[in-house]
Amino acid sequence: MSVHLDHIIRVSPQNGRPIVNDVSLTVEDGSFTALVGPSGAGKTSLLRVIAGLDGHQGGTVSIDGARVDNVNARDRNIGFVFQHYALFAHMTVAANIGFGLSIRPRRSRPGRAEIERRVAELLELMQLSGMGSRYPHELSGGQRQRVALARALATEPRVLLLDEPFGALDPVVRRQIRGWLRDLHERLGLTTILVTHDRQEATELADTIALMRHGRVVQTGTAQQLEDTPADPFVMEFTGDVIRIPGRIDRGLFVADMPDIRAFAANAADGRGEVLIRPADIRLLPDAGSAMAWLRQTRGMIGTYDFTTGTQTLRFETVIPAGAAPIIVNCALDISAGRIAQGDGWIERQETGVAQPATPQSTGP
Amino acid sequence: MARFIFASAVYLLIGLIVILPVVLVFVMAFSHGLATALATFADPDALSAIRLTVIMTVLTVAINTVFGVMAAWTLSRFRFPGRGALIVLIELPLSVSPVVGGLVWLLVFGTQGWWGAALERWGYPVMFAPPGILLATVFVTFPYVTRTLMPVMIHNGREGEDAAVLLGAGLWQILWHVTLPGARLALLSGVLLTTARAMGEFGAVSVVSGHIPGLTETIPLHIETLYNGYQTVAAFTMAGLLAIMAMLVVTARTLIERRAGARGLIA
Repeated sequence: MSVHLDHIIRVSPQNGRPIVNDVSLTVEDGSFTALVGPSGAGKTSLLRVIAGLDGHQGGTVSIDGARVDNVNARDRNIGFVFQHYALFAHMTVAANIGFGLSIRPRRSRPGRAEIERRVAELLELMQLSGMGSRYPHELSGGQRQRVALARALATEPRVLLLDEPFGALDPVVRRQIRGWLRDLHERLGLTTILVTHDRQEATELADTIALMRHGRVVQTGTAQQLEDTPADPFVMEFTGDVIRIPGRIDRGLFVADMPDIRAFAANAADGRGEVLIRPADIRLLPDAGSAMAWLRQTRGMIGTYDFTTGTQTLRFETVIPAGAAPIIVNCALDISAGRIAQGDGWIERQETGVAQPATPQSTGP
Repeated sequence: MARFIFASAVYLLIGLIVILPVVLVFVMAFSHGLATALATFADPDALSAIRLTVIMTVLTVAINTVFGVMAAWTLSRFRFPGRGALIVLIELPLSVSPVVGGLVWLLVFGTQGWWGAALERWGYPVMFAPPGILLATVFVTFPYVTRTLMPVMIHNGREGEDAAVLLGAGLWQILWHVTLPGARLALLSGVLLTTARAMGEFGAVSVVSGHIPGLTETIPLHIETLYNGYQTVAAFTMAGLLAIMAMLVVTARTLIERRAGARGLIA
């Protein structure tokens, strides 16, 4: 089942500020999409709008092409796993899982035996066989989470929404459950939307990542697309390590404030600017300046350098130049592989082909 | 050492203020032997007082439970203008003297009041009749269910209810299967507090009842009548009965809580 959001706006009922600000997003049938972003970006709010738990003041939500704006949350048939699982503490695991089936009106309610069979099937699927008669407080965090998942899947929902489902788990369990969840998604042919603030988690699980900030989707694409062609400095910083080097644009050249950084062509008007570069893209140029680079640590071909020029020091990890000594004197830096930021956007560069024109939203595959 | 001193002080205080008076009630009740004490219950006025008390308590608890659940749910789930004022108003009977509560009803429903005369003419007297006693008791015990339920409902949060909605549950199903079971200890606590308070209420009931023996006297009022009539043994026997009823309620509450605790339901 596909989910389509068109210009969704939700404002805070307390202060009227937008929490979700003009978000458009298409989640393809069978895809695994992650809503990623710092806390307060509006990820959970967007998820609750999709589920119908919170209303929205503008835009439309469609599931499988049909608008559901006026469909109650209870009738949307959406599976939802809450951050703290929200299990019913006074019910056994089996009663929790069977809840969605057992409260149906008599006409559409499956028989007791049928519900029991379905619950047993889900317990098996979640690797919880034999735990049906326990209470939630008797389970570990990972088990509780799987009960929450089983409960959400019992009614055979069209879409599965997960709100930070791994937040409360320890790292080892988290890794196990991730792989298992991805597996389940494939096996059941689900359409899944995951909310997380953890970039790695999103990269590992999702085919498509929608990066959110201040209630907006900043960029949508695969993890690789976001990392390689970030739409703006925020996306670049969020998707990997970044070194920032302030400087200015002077008659078509970017000139860093630090000495011994080689100027490079920047096709923009004069003014302040800042280069954002992945450390691995920084090149050390021996015998090209007057700075000193001191190799602190090595990891295969990668070294951690302290680059000192005058009184300033930059520390970064990059490729060790061929045949370089642990201490490189009289060197300079080549940062022309970076992107030049001005304010919240990029300055376009044409000549090198490294940077592409910034597009506000590139679409996923 | 400090622990010992504090513990002793607490025991001493409890002994003097709680245990001693209760023991004295029973000592006085049985001062002329068991037979004399039991003879109290041969009086039809006593039996009538007991019956009225039980009926009033059951009705009050029913009314205030339904109302309390609704109020607690509304106040813990929704934000609306005047919510704070509403909470204060619900708590008002706790801070206002019960006598004042009784007088207010007298003002509204008494023969000098707004509707009292009309109601009386139509054959539905409220003051100096059981309906008045019910009103007064409901007023006095009004806050207990709401006040015990609301913090637990707020603590339990919305997530469970949201989960139930997404699983297809309707409003009543959520209340019945999720919200109330999730807060059932608090609900029980509130109900039992209401019960104990309703059984023992004197002030407000005294104002509106008219003290008609055999008709509008509850146990506490009957005790006063007996005591003022120098029927000491009977007065203390009735008091003992009231004390036993209250203790049964408290014991029930403790037992249920302990059983729930053993099953790990108090998280």
